Amino acid sequence: MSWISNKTSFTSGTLVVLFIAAFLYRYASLISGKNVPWYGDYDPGYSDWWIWGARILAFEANPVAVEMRTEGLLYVPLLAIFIKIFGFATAMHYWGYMLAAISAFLPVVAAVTVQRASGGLIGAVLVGILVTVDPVLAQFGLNGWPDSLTIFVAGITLFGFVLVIRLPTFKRLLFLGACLSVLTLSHATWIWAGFGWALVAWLVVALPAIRQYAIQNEASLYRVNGWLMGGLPLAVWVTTMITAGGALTLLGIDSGKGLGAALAGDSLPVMDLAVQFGMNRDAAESSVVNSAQKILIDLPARLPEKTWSFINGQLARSTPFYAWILTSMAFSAVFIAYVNRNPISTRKPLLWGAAIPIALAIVVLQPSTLGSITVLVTVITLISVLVVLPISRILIAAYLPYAGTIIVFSGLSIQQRHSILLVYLLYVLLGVCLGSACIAIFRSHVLTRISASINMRQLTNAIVSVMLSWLLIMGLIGTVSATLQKQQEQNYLRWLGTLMPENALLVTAPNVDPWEVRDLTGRTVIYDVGLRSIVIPVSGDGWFDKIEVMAPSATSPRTLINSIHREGREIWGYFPREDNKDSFSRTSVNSHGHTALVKVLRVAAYPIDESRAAIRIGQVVDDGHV
Amino acid sequence: MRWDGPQIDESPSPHFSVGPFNDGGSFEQEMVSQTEFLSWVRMFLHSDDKTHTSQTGLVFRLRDKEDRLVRETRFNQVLGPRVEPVTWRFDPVKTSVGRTFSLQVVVEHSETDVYALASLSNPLPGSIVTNGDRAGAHVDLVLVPGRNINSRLILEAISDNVTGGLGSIMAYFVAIPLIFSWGMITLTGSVSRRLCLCFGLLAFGVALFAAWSGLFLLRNEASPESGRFFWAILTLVPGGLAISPWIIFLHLLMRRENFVRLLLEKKPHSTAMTCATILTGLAALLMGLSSVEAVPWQAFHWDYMNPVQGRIEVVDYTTVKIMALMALVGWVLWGLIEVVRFVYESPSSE
Repeated sequence: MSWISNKTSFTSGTLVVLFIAAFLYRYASLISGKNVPWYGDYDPGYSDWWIWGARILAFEANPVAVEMRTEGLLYVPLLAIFIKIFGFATAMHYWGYMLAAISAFLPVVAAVTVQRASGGLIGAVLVGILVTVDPVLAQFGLNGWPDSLTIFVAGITLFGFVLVIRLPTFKRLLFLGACLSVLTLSHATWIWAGFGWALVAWLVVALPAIRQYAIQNEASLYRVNGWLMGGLPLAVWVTTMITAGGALTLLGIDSGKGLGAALAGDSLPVMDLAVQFGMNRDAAESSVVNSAQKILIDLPARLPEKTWSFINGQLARSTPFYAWILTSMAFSAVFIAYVNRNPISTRKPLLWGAAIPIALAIVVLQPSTLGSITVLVTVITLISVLVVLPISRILIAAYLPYAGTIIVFSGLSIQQRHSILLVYLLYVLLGVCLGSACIAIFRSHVLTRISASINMRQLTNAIVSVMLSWLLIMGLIGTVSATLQKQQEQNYLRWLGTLMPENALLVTAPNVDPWEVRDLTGRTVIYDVGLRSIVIPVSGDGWFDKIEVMAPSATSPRTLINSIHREGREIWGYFPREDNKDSFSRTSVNSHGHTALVKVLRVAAYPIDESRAAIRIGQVVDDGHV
Repeated sequence: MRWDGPQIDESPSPHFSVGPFNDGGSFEQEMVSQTEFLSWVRMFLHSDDKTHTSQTGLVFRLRDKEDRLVRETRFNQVLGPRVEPVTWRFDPVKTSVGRTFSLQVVVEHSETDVYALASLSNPLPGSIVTNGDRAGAHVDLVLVPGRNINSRLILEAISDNVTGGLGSIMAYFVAIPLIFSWGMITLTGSVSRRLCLCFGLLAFGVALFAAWSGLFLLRNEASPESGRFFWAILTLVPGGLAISPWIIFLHLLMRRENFVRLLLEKKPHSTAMTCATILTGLAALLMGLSSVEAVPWQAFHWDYMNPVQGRIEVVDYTTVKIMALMALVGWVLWGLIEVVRFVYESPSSE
């Protein structure tokens, strides 16, 4: 693919090392049990829904979880194929490794995107590192939700979009259309956001002046065939949507789960938002149209408040070193403005360019937003970047449909975790700013005035090498540490297996590999994923998604545990992060939609580490928690 | 430079003397600090010693509302039949305005009876307590609290009365020369660095002189930092100087050809953008140097997923906000200039 990269071997080597380091990071997280595809600790039990859907599809050919109006349209069939080929337990492990590889590829995609957008390698590698170490992206990459696929495809789509901005050839437009289609299908609740991005792509291609400002350093602008060619991504997108909807119809999927339902969207959040805006709930529920009208009328006035909530409570909280990221962006803008001061100052004034700060100032000059320095500084930094770095306008415009959806509906239908899409964009913008600033500084010969012996290429390579070395070393340390920890846990589990009676059950914490626990102890495992407990029988490939199968007559956690005890079976516990604490005296067991607190008994001290003990589950202390 | 003055503008009127106080006798009175620092109290005493030669040993104790001893001193005072002001000076107590103290004066030794002036106009909270007996609520000791503070404490007192504190004051002294020299450059069309420096130093000198004048002229006032006059001196003169070239400039702009020529040659949009980007960078930097704001809810509800922010708490929110608002104003200004350019700039200028 000559249109992706024809740069020097150093750049290619950098990306390979970045991938290896990122993979080590993800692999360490996976084998330590911190983030695994069979458990998601943000929304306990959510992964299990998709696993259940894939199992049903693989073993019973039942497409109950394959629906266009939610997130499972691509994820569930892909997982089902794995399960069908490898068997359930093996498939889940292979799936984990595949997710680790895919999510390790995302930093490479981010780096290439930045490198293509700014031409700078330093900013590209920095973004690769940020995407690697971001805790939420790490969790998203491995947690076994369809979102992992969505964020990955969003990254690829942004890369395709940058390629189109630079040089909108037929192949690139086709590629962007395909990416947008996959992105939309991977999370079809945001179908209109995908449509919006396709429209922005059309405008960008059809109006070369926009690109001309965005890619100031491009020697020549290849102009495709006007308006018609610009619509290619949208045409691909529309075709894919119709095809996907038609395929679902042909497969006999319920019409409420197809294209029509996806296009209609979810009426519940619309009504919830109308109620949030002060509408009577009965009135909102009686008419979606009235709710939508209420939203359209009130939204302009409520948008500053929504933006405030999103930036202050969400974006600034979930982004590591948020203030310092803004600082880097703002000072990058200073350098770019300083070095390019002559071209910028003599350029033709643009009304829409001038409108950016005015519009943002109007948004921000609200009592709710003025009260927060985080929002204020975010807005002015955004203004600075938008004014100084024209490509940022196009990147943000492309993300606006997604950003708008997330900001307006965050906390209602869209959970806060989805803001990670915008965090990713923030990283990319930082990389583009930093990369452009570095290039501007290098070209201005500011450094050579300090010392004539400074070689810019060597300096860049040295900085990149140091950054990558750090990431690689951290990844290696993490992997070695996780491997050693895993070996210790395996020894502990083997020892635990020698103590437990033959017919005992073993309750585990969620952040473990339940199949490994079963194999090493040789006992049936009750895998507690938060909202429910899953039974993994001592033999076979079973995954009973309800502990209730152990005692069908039980009606609560208390009666369930008592029933198991009456059968003469003991319940033991494996809680690797808890069992070495003296204060650990209670844990929870879930069944029948209730959580029971149970007493924990320390049976025997672990000979290798006496702070740990073998744990047995005693009496139910309290089972009143819903 | 020192500020030395009473905390109150007028002393309460004396009506009669309370006493007599012999060895071991005492009187107490509650009072409220009217300014930020309390560094002396003055009362009015006399004795029956007609020779006006014997030393009276007095013990002064200052307690706060929680009955903690804040300051204590012993000294001798020669008293006679004529009423004399007795001033107890001590190291300034950092107080907030409205904080209540209790003053106790014990006569340690005296050859004659000692008396203190009291007032019936009830200027203070509570009432005078003589030898353990509380008088009527309207009877108070005639007492004048005051402060005597050095330059550092003056700066602290002023900072505490400014939104944004010391950061705002520093920003002010930076902004005045910048605005003035920028205005002069715009007006004269000169870009000489030496001239810029001269303009800047001139405006800085005027601002410093205005500040010093305010500090000096009002040094004996009760609370200059809370008065409008002080702030008027501090802001109007330098502020007027800083904007004066801009006023002339605006006057010249009334002529359209001048305006268009200015747009084409002086590039105010470029200058505005440079200033706005720098202010934005400073605001972001200051945000990193302030603590994380408290918000009603957080992004993620499990602990380890709230990533590290690495912010250092050395700047308060107000300073950051002022800088951010200045940057915002800078951007709005730039935007307006761009709009004007869009309207006025002729195509031939490209």
